[in-house]
Amino acid sequence: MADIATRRSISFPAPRGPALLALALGSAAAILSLWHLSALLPAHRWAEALLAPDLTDMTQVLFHYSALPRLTMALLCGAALALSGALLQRVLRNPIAEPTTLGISAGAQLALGTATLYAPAAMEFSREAVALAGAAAAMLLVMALSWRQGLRPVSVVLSGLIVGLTCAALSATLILLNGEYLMSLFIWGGGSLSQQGWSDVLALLPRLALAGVAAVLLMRPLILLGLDDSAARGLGVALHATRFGVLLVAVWLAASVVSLVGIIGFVGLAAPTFARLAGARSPRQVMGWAPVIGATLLWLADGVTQTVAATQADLIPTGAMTAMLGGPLLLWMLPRLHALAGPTDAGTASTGIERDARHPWRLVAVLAVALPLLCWAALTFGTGPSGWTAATGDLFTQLLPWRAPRLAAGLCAGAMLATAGTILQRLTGNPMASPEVLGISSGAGLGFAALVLAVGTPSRMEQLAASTLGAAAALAVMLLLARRSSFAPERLLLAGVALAAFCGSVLGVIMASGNTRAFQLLGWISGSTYTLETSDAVLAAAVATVLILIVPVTARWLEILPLGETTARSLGVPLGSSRLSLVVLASLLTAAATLVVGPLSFVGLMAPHLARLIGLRRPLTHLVGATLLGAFLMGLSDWLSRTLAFPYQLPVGLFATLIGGPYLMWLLARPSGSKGG
Amino acid sequence: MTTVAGHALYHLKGVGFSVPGRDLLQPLDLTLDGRSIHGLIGPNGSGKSTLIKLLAGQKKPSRGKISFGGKPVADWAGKAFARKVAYLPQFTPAADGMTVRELVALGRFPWHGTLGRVTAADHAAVDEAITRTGMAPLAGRLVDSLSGGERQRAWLAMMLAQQTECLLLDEPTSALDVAHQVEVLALVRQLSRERGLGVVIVLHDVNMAARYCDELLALGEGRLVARGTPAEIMRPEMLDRIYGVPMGVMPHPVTGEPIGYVR
Repeated sequence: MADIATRRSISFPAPRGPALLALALGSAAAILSLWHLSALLPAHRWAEALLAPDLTDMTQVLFHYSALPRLTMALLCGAALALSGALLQRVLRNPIAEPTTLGISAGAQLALGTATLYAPAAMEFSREAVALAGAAAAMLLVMALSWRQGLRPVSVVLSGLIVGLTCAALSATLILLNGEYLMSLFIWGGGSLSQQGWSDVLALLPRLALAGVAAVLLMRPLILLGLDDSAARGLGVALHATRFGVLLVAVWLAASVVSLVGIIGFVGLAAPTFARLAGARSPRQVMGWAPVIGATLLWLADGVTQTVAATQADLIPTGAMTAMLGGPLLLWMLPRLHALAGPTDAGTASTGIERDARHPWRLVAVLAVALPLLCWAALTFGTGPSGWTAATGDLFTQLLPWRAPRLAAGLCAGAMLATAGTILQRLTGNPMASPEVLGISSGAGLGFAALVLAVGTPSRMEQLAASTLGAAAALAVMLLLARRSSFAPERLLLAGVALAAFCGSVLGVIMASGNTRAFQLLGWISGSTYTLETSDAVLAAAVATVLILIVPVTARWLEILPLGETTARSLGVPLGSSRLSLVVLASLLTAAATLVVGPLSFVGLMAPHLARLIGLRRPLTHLVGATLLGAFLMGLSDWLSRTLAFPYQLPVGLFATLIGGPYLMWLLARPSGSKGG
Repeated sequence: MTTVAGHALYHLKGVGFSVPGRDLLQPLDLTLDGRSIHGLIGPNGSGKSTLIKLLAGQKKPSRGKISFGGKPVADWAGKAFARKVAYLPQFTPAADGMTVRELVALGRFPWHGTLGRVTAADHAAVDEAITRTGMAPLAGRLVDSLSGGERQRAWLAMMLAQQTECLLLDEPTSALDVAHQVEVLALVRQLSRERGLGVVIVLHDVNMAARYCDELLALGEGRLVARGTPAEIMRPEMLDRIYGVPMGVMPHPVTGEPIGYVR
């Protein structure tokens, strides 16, 4: 808003940037493709193989029914995902919205996993229909959750994130309970483009064309949707109908891709961002160029995948490769980003429905009492071969060394993640910010994965060292990237998402390799506390105490920073140094917690929201409340994960998501009591 | 506390601001005195907001030097500057889930800092700011639930709580009805007289500006086109030049002050 005059004054030529970028990506991809195809079949026989393949010649069959469809599929999927992402980013006014953010992909994956186990006949009948049903169900849930808020952008993305997390946690639980049987889902989950004919192409092409037409028809209201709601309504846009329509098109596109080839993340995020970075300015330009860039991006990613994995191309999913390729590219381009186009709901972490507690400290006191009660219950009650038992007297003392360390470590990790999440959400003014999103957790995971692959069964100290190194490296990359913009929240978040996508994709590739170590990795990544010893717990407690005690010191920054840069500067808050110290603090908290419970607990995302939704909104009560809630959530998860699936031990991080997710959904969907606004 | 009022508050030497492809503010030499109200007037896009942002240190000039109290603005430490100068942007951000009193209390940050104790003086300043702006009945309300005019007064109260020697106001009356416009501007003038505050204020309504400012500075296309007392500026040929439409001036039927109108 500061630069209305600035923006108006610059005349924009038709941007050549996006075209050049698409050309560069396309030529690189074309070279790779030509190389692959000529390795398969000499160039002079291509025409013959394309038009009238000799079905007795194996290479011609492969060329016609595998290589070419795969290439076409890459282009189509890339375009479809990019268009879907561009639509979602526009309609949700959030630069990190993309198909996966809405839980569509996770919903589809859960549906497939469930069907594989409990209704194989449905899978036999139509895998696509199952995936589509799951995706649609997830989307409907998201819509239902955010309906009351008039499908406000922030609510939709937040609901999508929660639904997605819960679905992903359920899928992972299914996989862990059913072992190798479902491991193949991971390969599908990574988005494998390998084809056995033209049917998928023929299925996707008309859908893409239809969606394209719909997007063109919706263009005008879509441009107005970029304004804020009241302005758009003032110009006569039917807000609900338009938003619903655009979301429908975007979801349908994404679900089509997911049902045909699986989850290919990042293209939907990266393509529109690249288009904007390369100079596409108006919604029309972004919407036009994003599919082209997305298509070439996925084409290139697939070419690289085939080159890297020449021998087992079917095993390494292309979806994982897109993030590996696009992540660094996005990181490299970020510092060159002048003004992030695409308006956001910056400066407000509000979902519009929180209530204001009359006596916030009483709420905090309730939480503080609940926590010891939980500890007592978790230490006393457990399941054995004969069902639930209460341990008293001697038995209690005997069991204590088994139960106490993991509970203590879990509590500390939960508290640390929640604190980090609160800091990040206030710092960025973005309700989707969390340590998991910042990429630091993934960095720690990557360090751990590298160690497991290199050593096999590493010692506890080696694990600690490797994860710390990974987290520190991720942190260093983040700080380097964000320094130039003096840690402007939006870039910090985008850089974090890119980093997380990159690390996640590397992990995905490792998992998809399908060896036994991958399973060990999955256990840790979903957050298992059952290997923890007393020394781990003591360490976690010490780190947590020190770090969490520092945080209240920053409470005044955390109150002013959400008001935006201008206010912070005019009040004399040191922008650079306050942001830097908060980022470092959040990263340390995250790294320490990740070592204990793995990178995927999402307590750091959920706890701050829970605290807000029960009415704790001032910085200090918000912080303390979120910290207690995070500890409570993780403690409860630890107890339940130990007892519910006995004799199995489910990962505590998964459980935290399974408990917190639905509760958060309920809070979101419930009628708002004493709404402030 | 050293005071900068009395002598030159701001000193600008060759200050300009440009974005790629356009100069928003042509090189400008200017001295602004303390203890008086300077009104920035001019048509849209004339550089008023740019100038006030440069004065507030929100933007760095592309060329030239701005000094405040004899020291370049860039050399002032953040909090020290915020104790001297308060800035109200044209668009205030959403104060998510904050009450009026909490918002006003943020104005004390430059005084107590990140860790300093909140003293009785801080509370007194907040109370006074709330009372002076007439926000007392609304002090417990959430800022988001206020009307546009009430919200603008809440932010003004936050600036007052900053207890600065200089106020920079970018269209503080844009969301106010006539009664509240008069109220706010009268308050600003009263404060300026009482405490010897220097005020720079961007106003669209030239008559309001003439009535409440000691001096008017007219900008046009990034240049200073006129400067003088309201009486000097409120002349038909001067207003023609500033706004580019034929304008006339007549005496106020009661006070006799000049009133500009479009012919």
